[in-house]
Amino acid sequence: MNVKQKLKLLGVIILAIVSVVIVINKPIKLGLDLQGGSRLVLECQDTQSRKVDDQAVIGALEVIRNRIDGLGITEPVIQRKGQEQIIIEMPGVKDPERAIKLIGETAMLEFARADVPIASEEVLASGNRLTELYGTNSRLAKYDIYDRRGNLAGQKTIILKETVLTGADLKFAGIGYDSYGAPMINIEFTAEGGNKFYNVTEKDTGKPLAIILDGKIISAPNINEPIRGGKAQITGKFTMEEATDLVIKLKAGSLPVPVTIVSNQTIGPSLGQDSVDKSKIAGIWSLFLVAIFMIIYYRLPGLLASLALLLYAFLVSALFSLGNFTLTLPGIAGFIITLGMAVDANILIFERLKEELHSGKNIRMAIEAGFSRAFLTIFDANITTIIAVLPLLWLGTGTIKGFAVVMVLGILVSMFSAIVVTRVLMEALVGTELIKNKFLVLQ
Amino acid sequence: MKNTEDKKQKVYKIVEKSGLWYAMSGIIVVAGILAIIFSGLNVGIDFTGGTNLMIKSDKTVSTGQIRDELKAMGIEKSVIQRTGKESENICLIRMPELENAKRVQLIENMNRNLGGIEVLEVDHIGPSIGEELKQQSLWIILTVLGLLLVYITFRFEFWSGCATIIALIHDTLVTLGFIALFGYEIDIAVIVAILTIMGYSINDTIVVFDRIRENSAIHKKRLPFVDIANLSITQTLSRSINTSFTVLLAIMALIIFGGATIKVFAVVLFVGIATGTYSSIFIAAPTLAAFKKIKI
Repeated sequence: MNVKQKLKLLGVIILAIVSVVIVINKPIKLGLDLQGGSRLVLECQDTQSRKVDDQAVIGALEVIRNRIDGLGITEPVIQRKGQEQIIIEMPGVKDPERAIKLIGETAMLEFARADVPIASEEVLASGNRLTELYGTNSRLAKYDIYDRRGNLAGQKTIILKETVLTGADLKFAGIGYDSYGAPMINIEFTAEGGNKFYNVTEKDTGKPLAIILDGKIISAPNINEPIRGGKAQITGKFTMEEATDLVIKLKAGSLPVPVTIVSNQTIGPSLGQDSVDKSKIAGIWSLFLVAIFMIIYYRLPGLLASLALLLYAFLVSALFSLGNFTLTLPGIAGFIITLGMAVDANILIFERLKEELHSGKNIRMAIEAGFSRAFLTIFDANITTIIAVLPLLWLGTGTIKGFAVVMVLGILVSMFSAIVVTRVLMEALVGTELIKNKFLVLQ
Repeated sequence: MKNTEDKKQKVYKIVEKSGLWYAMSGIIVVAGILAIIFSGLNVGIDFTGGTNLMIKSDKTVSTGQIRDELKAMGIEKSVIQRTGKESENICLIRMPELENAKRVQLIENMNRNLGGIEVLEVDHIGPSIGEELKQQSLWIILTVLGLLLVYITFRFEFWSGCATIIALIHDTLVTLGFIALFGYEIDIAVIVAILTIMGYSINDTIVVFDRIRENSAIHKKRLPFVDIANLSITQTLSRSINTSFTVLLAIMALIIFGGATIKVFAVVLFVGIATGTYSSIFIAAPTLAAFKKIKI
């Protein structure tokens, strides 16, 4: 070996060591299908009062972002898609149903003036009795009431009038506990909101105030006296979780337009872990099988190609890790496929080598001719696979993208490993006894 | 070990038997088309929209019980399949799109009536998204075919490009035929597999065409194209087979050890790549020879 070849060999060995170190120390980011989690696609809906426009979607994005923050999910992805859709990815979310509920509900909080019905429902419902008695904005509504122990005790009828305050008038929302120890919401209005609140409670003392969430009356306490200072409490039938979620929603604000879930892909963590485990085994087996074949068919060069393959596996893993790419199940499948493809270039080179040796060249010249003649063919073959797989980066979900990234990365690195690494290893052996042994080298 | 002197003389007459090769492929493609006509193409929810639910129950639950729960919620059409090991009690439920609130209700009902239910996977795709994906997939496949045609034309020449595309379409049809015959579900993974198969199948074809180009330069004056083609195929035979063999080995490991989620994907890839190798050897070059004959 001359100096240049010694240096190249050293370079390869260093590359191998660095790759192994990176793989051991830097964990690879796992996709939703491997660590479990949810991917949602939401679509903003037009309402009578508002059509979906840029502002609405941006507003919705903001609200959703705040709500997800409230859930404490690490590394969520919240993105706009097209004109009216929003993509949300929540890796490792423990309770996807709760999260979906939290994100999807409009959470429109309204405080409406109300009144006690003075006649029966039938009487009020007939003709214009309602408008005569209570004014033009009034309507009949029912709401559930609960006893002290939180059980449903019945339904009460109430007259709803105009909305006077909304969630937008809130300055603060937090959890508190009522005298029974049940969770409730402490709220504080803004200065302006506080004034409005005082006006309402003064005007309507003795009457109920309806608290409405997404069109449903959650509570209708009686106003006992005018309230200054803008502080109040919302009590109702809340579990701790419901109260917490309501606070998150109030803090984040209500959605400017309602959203529907048009796609939901949720994978439980146990399924994901199962996939990871099985894939590891499959990967090791494929390395093993390919190596065995190469050694049997191509002998010594096959062994060198197998070593190069091992380096390839670590190199791709290290690069994947460094690039902060996300590994998905199709990505793992892609990686295993590239293990088989990675040796293709070697096979092309070795077949070429055989021919060069038969045409009479000595081993050193055969290696040189073999590698350079095969290069163009290898390049052509790999580029076409990249062309076919590259568009997948734009198609479909993150899991598919993961496949495309692995394939492209794998193919590029495999070209390097086959052309550079194997050659370095082979040149390192030229002139040694091993190469001279006709049995070990190709027939 | 093969005697190389013998090999120099023995050239496999592949192009002459084109009819045989086309017939063999034709049989599978026709069988596939018949399967599609008679049992329909099993298109997955990725493209049609719908809801797939994979649940694991603590107690043994019959598919009949599950179907009753679904009917109680007004879900008439559904396909329920046991999957995984017997002891694990895992079921896959396929149904038309079920909105979120209803799904939550369904799980609650099942929990109440059938015992502990764990949701392993939810896949709910709205029909508009499915339609969008369908369009995108078709476009991508056509675009890739076009790009590959351009590339081969650029590296070799137009007729080689055409022969390659014909081989690719052949591979796709055979793979789809296989999928239809076995009733596999066509989802986005199948599209990914088809694209991968296309990209990979060309590799072998390029190896053969490359050799044809080389041999044409050497033997053009003396040998007709058919003989050059045969010679090239013979010379590159071990190369084509071995390169595909290693990939098939790797995919085999996936099929055996990879787990149910990835199994269908791996099997489709296996079939497609095997077909791709077959087409590179027995379809691509003979088609090119046919073109040359017509041209001359």
